[in-house]
Amino acid sequence: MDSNKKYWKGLEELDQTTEFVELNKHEFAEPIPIEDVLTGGGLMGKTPRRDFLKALGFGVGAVSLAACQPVPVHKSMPYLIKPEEVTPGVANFYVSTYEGQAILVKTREGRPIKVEGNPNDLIGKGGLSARAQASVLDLYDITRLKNPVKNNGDYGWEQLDNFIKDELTAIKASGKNIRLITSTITSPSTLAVIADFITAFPTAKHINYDAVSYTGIIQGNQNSFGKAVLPHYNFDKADVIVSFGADFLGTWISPVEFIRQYVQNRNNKSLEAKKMSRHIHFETGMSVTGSNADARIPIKPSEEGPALISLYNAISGKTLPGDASLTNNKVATNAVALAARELVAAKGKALVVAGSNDVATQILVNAINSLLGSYGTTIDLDNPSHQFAGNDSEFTEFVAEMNRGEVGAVFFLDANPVYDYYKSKDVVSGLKKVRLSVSFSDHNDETANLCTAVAPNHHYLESWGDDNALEGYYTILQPTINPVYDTRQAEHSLLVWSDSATKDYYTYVRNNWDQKLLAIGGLTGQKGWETLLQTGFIKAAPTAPGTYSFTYTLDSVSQKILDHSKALVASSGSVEFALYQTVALRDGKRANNPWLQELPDPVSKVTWDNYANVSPSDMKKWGYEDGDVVKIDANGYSISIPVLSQPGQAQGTISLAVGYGRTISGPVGDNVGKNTFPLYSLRNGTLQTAGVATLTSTGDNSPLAQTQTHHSIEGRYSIIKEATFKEYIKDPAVRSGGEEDHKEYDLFWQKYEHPTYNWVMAIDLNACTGCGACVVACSAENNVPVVGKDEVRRRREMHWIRIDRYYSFDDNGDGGKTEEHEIANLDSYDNVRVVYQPMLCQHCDHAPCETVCPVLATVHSSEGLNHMAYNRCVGTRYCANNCPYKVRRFNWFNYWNDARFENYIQNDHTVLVLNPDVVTRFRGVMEKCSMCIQRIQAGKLKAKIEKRPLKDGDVKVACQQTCPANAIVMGDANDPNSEVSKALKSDRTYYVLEELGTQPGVGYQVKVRNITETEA
Amino acid sequence: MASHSESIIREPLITGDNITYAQITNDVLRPVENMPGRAWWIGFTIASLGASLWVFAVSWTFWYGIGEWGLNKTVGWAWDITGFVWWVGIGHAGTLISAILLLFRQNWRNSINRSAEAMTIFAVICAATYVVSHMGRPWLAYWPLPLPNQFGSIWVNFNSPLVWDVFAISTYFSVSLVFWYTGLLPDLASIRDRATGIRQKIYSVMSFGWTGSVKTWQRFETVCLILAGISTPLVLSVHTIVSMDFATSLEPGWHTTIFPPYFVAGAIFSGFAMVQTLLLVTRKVLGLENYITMFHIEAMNKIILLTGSIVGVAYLTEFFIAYYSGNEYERYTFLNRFIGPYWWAGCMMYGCNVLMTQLMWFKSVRRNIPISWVLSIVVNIGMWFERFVIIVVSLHRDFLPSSWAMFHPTWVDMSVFIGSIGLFFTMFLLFIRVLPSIAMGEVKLILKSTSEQAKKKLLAHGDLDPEQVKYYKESLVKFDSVEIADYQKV
Amino acid sequence: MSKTKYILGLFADPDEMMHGIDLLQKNSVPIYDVYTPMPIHGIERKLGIKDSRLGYAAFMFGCLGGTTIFSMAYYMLVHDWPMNIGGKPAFAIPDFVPITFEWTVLFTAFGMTLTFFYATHLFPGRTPRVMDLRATDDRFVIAIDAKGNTPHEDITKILKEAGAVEVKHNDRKYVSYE
Repeated sequence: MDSNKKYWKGLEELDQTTEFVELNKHEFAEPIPIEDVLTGGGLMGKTPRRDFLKALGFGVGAVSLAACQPVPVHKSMPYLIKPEEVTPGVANFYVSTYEGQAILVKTREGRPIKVEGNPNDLIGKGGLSARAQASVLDLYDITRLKNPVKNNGDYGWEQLDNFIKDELTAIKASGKNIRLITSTITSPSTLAVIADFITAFPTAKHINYDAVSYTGIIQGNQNSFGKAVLPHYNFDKADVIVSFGADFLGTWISPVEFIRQYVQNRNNKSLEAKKMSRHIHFETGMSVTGSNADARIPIKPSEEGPALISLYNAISGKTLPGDASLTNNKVATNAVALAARELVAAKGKALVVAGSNDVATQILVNAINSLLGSYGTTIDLDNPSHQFAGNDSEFTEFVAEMNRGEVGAVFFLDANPVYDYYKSKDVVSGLKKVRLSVSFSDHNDETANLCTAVAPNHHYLESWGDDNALEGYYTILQPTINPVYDTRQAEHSLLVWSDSATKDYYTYVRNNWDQKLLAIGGLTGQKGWETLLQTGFIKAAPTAPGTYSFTYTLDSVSQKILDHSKALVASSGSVEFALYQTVALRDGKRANNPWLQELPDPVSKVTWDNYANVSPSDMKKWGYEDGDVVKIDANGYSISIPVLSQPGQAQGTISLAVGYGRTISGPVGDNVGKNTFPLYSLRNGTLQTAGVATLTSTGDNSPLAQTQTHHSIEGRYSIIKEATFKEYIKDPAVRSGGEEDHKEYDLFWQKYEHPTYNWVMAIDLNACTGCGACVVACSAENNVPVVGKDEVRRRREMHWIRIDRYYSFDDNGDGGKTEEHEIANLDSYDNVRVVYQPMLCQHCDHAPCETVCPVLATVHSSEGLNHMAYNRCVGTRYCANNCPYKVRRFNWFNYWNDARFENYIQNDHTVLVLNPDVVTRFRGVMEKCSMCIQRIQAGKLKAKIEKRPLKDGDVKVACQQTCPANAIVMGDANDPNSEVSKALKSDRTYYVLEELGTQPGVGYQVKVRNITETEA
Repeated sequence: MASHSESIIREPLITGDNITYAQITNDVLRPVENMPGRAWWIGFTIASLGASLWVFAVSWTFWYGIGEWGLNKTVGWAWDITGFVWWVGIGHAGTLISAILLLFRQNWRNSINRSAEAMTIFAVICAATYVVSHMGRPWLAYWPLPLPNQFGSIWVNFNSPLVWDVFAISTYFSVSLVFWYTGLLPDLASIRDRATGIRQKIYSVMSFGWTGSVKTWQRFETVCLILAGISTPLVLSVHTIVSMDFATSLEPGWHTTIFPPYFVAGAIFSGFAMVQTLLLVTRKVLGLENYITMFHIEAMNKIILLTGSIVGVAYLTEFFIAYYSGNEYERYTFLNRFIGPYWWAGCMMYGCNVLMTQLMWFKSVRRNIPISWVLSIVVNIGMWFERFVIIVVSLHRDFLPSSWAMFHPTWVDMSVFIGSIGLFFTMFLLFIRVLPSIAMGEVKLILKSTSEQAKKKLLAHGDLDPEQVKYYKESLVKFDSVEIADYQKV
Repeated sequence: MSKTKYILGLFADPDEMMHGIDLLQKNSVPIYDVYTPMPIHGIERKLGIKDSRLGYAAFMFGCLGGTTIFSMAYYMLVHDWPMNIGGKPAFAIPDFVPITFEWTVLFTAFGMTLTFFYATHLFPGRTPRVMDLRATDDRFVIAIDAKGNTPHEDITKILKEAGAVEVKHNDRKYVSYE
């Protein structure tokens, strides 16, 4: 019989007070905020503002200590008073904005350690670019300016303010011009601040200056439709895409957004719906976009204009002059005809884009698009993009003004013309004539170095602010950490200097939102503001598309275009060159970021350098080897730069990347590569990226640090499986069939169950565009060291996930040449096909690495993961030798504590970016992809605390989370309804090298190309 | 039985007139009991310089990390494991001579087994140094041993060929050492009984108080016989297991069932070459022509020829199987040995090991001391390249072309290897100074039966088949240590 | 009464020594021991020494070694801490063969050799019980305990007759190493 005696601890229990009952509901007496902080939870979470501000308060404490000079950061400090919602060991997520994209910032103990896309973000839907992933590292850059600077000497804010105010009043009196030079500003509040500033100083003018500008498009639309805007493109609505050198998956306008849209018509889902978009690409150098195209036609810069003209003629039936001048490129001529047919067939679902910054060209493109009825469908002029508003002619005029001595004061915000303006000499000489020049740069850069004063700006993770990248899409910036150095937000400085009523920018932003913006999102007052701080953005209803008829007369246009291309035709002994941006460095403003420098270029796989891309045939013809240094002369400027054999490069042309060759950026970025901005030229008021140059060999050779040096798959079709869309329609399982099953020998193998979870991954080769975001995300999440150019050159990069890129050549539609010796005998390398394959630890069930480890440092988990116990490893490297996928990485040196690697990521400040959930690895230890086991554990913990089973999607690995194309899916194979199980059930699924019997845990899906007929 | 003189047609194993037991002792102990000559000093200086280079290079590696070598993410093993396998292979000849030839009652082994065994031990030491120095964290080199530990029950992986290696190499080393030292006892006693003062004390301790009484000798021979019996499978197992490091892996070019016999043959091959290299010099420098005769040299050359040909057959088999398997990776790997960027390494391997050794078919080559010496070195160069090709050339281009890479050795790689050779010779030169480089007891054993003078007695005695006598005399012509003139009068 | 303790017959030739042994035994002179610089085959039968039993010891040690390591492997990988190593069964017998073999050999070699040293009283630093220094060089020595009733002269005569190059009458048993 059970006793009816009652035991109670404390009176509360005896008389069941409500709060006691409340408390007892929870596992912990004090509520664990984990619900509202882990993964997406922070959004729906109920973190009140006061708690959030407390977090800031804590951030002040911890980080100003951590960040400022002498305090050794490796000393852990206990909380004196624990902030309510900061649980040591549990991450807090805060919404913010990166370049107009709503993001989540992951903070640990008050330190931002990673940024992730906001799942509801309109642009990336949770996807982020490699640059966004790397941006968090800039926050801890030890070479940022730590205080204001005057005449290149340290200075105080107060003195600076006084000094500048005095100067401004003086200049105002003198009536001289004041200029604000900024790269495109999309923040409404910032623009408002600038407006106020201008009202305070009537002679002031705001000039948008983009190192890589889109003036051409904006002007083009102005001329064509009277709307000077950068339209918003909808690649997801396009069935046929024809691009003329617009690298929209890599660097053009808004790549993350475009990748997401583009892949929607090509990924598994769309294929299973028997639908796949068609993409024809004309370009000079091999870009990420070109490498993903179904048909890619190399054309010289001088052929782009004629090609567009003949395309227009083919579609419109009219004949603009100059159509003929393409005849010397048979392939292109046919391709244009073909493109025209397909575009017309897909009227209303077609899109033509051109990367050119030439107004005339863009007008012609508009003409073509309006013929195809793209406006209102694939192109949206009514809800335009604000991402780029730069105006070349205004800036050119400004440089002239300076040199005429009409400018009294100039402010540079996020602009570095001394480095990236094509005539930087003029800027330098002009600056000498300016009385007051102020830079807001947070680094000492080429421009800041020449300025009277530098008022260092916050990093965006330290800033309040807002953003409005797309019409009607307003996102909020909130600081996730107290300023690491003695910096001040540029807007704040402007407010101070213009004696604005509101002295601090936070209040200013608040007011601006309370008065104007909150209403748009249907929010009001304090409540609305708090909601905003949790959701991160508001969205206005889109304005209905108007109708646009193209009336502009084209003859003069086509004439301009023809003149332009004639000017580009290279005389014998010289070549046409085209400038492009790399996916990692873009315009080079953040060249000091080691994660970006070490991110291999998606196509060439080169790190830490820029180089002249030359077509293999030309390499043969001119007798160059990879890495031979050539002297390039153009526009009276000359650089010596190594060459690289790049299949797909149009013959007789070279491509050069901008954004390299910084001289004042910091220890990482200085003197990496050569500056090619001076090769720009101004034509019809816009900056042009193409030109004519002469090449001369210098005789020396500087090897490039490539992470992949063999480029063909040697006919090994169990690694890469490809099919055409036609074949796929006939048989969805085409080519995915593995080798016939071989006998299992029970004597040697034992079936191990995965009772709870079985973590596996599916990678869709058709979705992956090779952008490399996953690589940086992985490095950030797993503390992967940066090893520098020398080590990469020794083939020792440490990336846990890499993107293999293979070329195959197809001269006569015979399926493609994939073997070294065949390829060596080709004479044309124009018709190259590219395939990307993300490669990471396959977590084989029969892992070859496990059997051979003498000390059991790597064994298999009951959840199907291949574990690596770093502190048990003695470093025999046998596992790496025995890994058929070569995904294991060895710590050749003590990368985290070795003077030779200090320039990269292991100084006192940058180590603050480390993920505390992942240990850094010591010298002599093997490491590899762990399938983000720390995230898996966190997910399980959360589920456990919530007393519920783990849901599919609770755990997202870093590479999957950031992938704008959703090419990577990871999850539990035991759950038949999980996304990954479904993905792996697809007919296209195959396993790399499955005939070896390693039973990999990562399934790939056959690459499908939409090749209708043999193009050209 | 010792006193029975063997048939005349057998060639003598000990040449020279009036070789008495005392004479043997004197000849063998001359280097031990006198100050070294100039030749020795020169050799020793060079060798010890090499050894110090080794010390420097290895310390350098330990200090800065294995990254100082030319390895990379694709080629995880190169000169280190090449050197390891090379040295272990060289070691094998010693045990083979002392064990297998003993079992086969090859009396000619008696005058070379001592130095051959010494060579084994030093070679295995060199190999062992690589095992440690190639580790990423050499200070944890004891972790592959199945020790109870403070980390809880963390044991080793008995499925891993590397653990098998640990067992094989350690066993092989210690057993060879025991075998060798036991054999040394009687000779140490001889030195002891001839020495005086401190040397006598030292050798007295080292000789364990050996007296040479009947019972001791009888048990001694039993022990040697059994040790020989177990060393024979041991020596075969060691290189079998070394070969399993590769054979049990997945790597095309490694994943080959033929490896065990192929490696063992290769080991004996290179081992005998090394013995040849050393003894041809030693016998001149120490004046031991009468004990290490042309017969020995030719016998060893024949073995080199035999094992070399076995290795050749193994190569052919590999190629055939690569073709016959239809496995594209396997095929590519073997093609790559000739058409790949490392074609020259392949040529060295096949050229030195197979083509050059075929010269041994000619008597004139087998019996020509300079040529045999050169060939013996060529063989070891070839065998080094064999391991280099198997390890590096297989690794540098395996399954995923994206990871294909080249290997470029650094000065550290080279210094460690050259240094290990220096280390080896330092130890060997010290050995011939302080220990008898020929097993006196065993040579004395065969003096009465198979020495040249014994044969002379027979001839003098007469009543032999003239055919046989003629044959015997002809067989003597090749000896560089025999006065043919003596036989004219008989 | 002479102080002679041992009579040594030093032969230069093993065959003559064997002959000497025969003669002595014919004259029923007890032989204390024989010291030779090299093994003499067949002598043990003459002196009636039983075959060595080291072989059995060796076998035992071998078995011990094999069992030891195999059970170690079993305990460590199967009993104490079984885990999934590359999908192979924990008790992967084929993989245990190499180590088992190696330790069988190891134990055999060491066990037997140590037994040999123990049985024949060999250990580092043991004072050598040598009756004549040349016994380890070029002399084949028959040692006869002088405390027999056979007159010493007869023994000397027999030895000389057998071809001994020298006969010693030693007052102390062993050569002193001082």
